[in-house]
Amino acid sequence: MSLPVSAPLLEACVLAILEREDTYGYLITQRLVAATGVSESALYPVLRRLQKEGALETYDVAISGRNRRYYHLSPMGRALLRQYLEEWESYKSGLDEILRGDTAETNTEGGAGDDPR
Amino acid sequence: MTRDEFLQALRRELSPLSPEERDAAVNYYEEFLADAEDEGVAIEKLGSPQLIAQRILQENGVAVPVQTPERAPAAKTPYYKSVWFWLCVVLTLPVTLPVALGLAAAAVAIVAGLGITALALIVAFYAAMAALTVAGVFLCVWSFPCLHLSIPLFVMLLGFGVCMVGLGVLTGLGTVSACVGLSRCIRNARKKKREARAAKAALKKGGDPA
Repeated sequence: MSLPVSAPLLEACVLAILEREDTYGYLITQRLVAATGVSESALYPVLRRLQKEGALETYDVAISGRNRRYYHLSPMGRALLRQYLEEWESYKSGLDEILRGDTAETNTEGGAGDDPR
Repeated sequence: MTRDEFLQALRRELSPLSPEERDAAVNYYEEFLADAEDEGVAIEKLGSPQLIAQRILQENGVAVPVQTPERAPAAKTPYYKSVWFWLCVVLTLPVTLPVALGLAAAAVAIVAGLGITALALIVAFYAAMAALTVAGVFLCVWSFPCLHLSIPLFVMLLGFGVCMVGLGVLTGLGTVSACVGLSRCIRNARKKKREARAAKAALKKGGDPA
């Protein structure tokens, strides 16, 4: 990928994935790699940071004789995601204006309710 | 690289972190590999444990020396095990050997000189003590025959005598305590040196398994 994804954007993606359902490291990584082309090892530092900030909670689920750690969005993580989505809307429309020259597509709704896909 | 090799290398690279942080990262990757469909492919895709560790260390505020993974093991071999070091030693021997010998001779001469001086000073002080005491006693004894000549003369001579004996005793006490202090000083310095060496050895022994 020629357009690299910044660390905050990666954080936002992780929060968005976890807003839909609780899931585990390997699956989050595969989704991020497929969507953004980041390296397979890029997720761990992001997950750890979000966890330390209190945006994520974890719980272990026993599976075939071992534990799998699931990540769950905390209320604080939800608030952080809303903030990121607002920023993303303004960022995206600002760039679209330059790249496509189209100002017709308005993003008046913006915000938390939107599905970022 | 097998799964165990990968995890072991990662743990080693993360050694500057707290045990808690290190375990968290290693557990994450252990689980990651267990979740992957093909472990071998997943390890290959993850890349070198060194690079993964560097990212985690940076995130934790540990200063990471810039080095490529290939060069990392080379930097770890101590200098005295490298061929180049010994080659340098041998090649510079014609110059370093005479210089070293000269410096060693100078050091020996200085130490010997200091030792002899100290010994001479000690002997001189003891001699001074003996002379003062003996002379003082003589004066005291000789003052008595002067008693019938003049009382002031007798008192003066006796006073001088007692003074000299006192000075002699003080000199002796001073010299003895100086000697004791000096020897204690030397013994302490030696003990400290030995302790430092022992501490260093213990550190080396303790640091190796990590």
